[in-house]
Amino acid sequence: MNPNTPSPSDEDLPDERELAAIYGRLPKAEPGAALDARVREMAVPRGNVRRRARWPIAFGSAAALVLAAAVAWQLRDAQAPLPVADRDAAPAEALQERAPPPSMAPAAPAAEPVATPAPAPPPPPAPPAPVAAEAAKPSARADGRMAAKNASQIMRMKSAPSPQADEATSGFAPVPDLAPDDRVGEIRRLLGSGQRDAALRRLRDLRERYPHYDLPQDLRDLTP
Amino acid sequence: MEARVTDDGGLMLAWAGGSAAAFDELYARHKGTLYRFLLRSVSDRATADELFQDTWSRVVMARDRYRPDAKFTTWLLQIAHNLAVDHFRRQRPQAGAEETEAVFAAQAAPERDQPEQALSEFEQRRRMQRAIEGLSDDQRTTFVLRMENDLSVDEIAIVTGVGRETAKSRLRYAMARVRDQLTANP
Repeated sequence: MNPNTPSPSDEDLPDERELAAIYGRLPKAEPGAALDARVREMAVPRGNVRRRARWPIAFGSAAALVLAAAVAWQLRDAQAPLPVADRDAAPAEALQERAPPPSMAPAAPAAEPVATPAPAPPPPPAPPAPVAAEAAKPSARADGRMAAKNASQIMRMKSAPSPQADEATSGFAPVPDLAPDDRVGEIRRLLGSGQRDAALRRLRDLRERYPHYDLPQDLRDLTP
Repeated sequence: MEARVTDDGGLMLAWAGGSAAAFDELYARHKGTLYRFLLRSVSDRATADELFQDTWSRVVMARDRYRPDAKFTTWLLQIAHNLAVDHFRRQRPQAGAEETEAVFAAQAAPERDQPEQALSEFEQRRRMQRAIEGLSDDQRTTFVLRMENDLSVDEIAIVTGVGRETAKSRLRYAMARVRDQLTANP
């Protein structure tokens, strides 16, 4: 008898106990072994297996998405065009200018450990950001600011007048590669144009650089 | 969850949560009474096998929705009874429930002596078997639910989907007819 089944709560009907006694002696038929096996097979809780299998797939998909976004972000940084100022510079000079000073490297945010050491050009404004891209943003922005700073420094260096340039525009620029004869001609030109002091400095320079040079008579007689 | 659970509803919830052992326990408890209920309802082993498997199949499909509000035995037998009724309807045209009740109500249940003690035990079992098979489907179901599954009249009413008085009336007439068969002269 099933232990969960209570006895009937209502009173016995006439002759019920005698009938129940005879009924109880009937053969206790049971389902066959094959039927048992079919039912048990149906009842195997497959749902748990499916649930277990879904987690790794979901986790793997999310991880792959994050990885793909991070790689795309890095590739975009690497392939972005150089700034105009860098393109105008000589290749070696541009590389030298783009390379960050060693002292600046630790100042970059450490949130993106795979960031390349070479600073990238400034990123375009706020792309729709996956999680990994968001994490990479501070580093990229810092790299961009650094590159812009370097580019402006290059521009300033190109456009700012140097001391040599000042001297050239005033007619006193040294011409270190000139031959002694050419220097003699230069000195005579300065004398002819009334710039005696400049001509004397050139002459002194010529004598220092080429002490054995045989000066022409007109310059040999020139004294301060 | 492998902890010992004695309540049928707890076993159902444990099974739905993934415990195969809980189903084994539940199945072991109910397979015999369920199988005999079906076998004596349809009187055909192949059909009983089919309905037995179908019943557990319904249980499997409904396991995630099961709530232990109703008694598991009542729920299980209700499923089996509905499948048996569908089987009866496919087999032959049935009189309506009201018509059946009217026919049996018209038959006065005679007062009988106690079942003949002189009959051999084997003969008593044989007559009991034949008496059950001779009942109408509704009366047979009611009788077996009472004898095999120890259901109260109220529970029989729930399983068979009728009112309490109808269930009690069916049970009374079924028992009277079985008793008649047992005491009849060969």
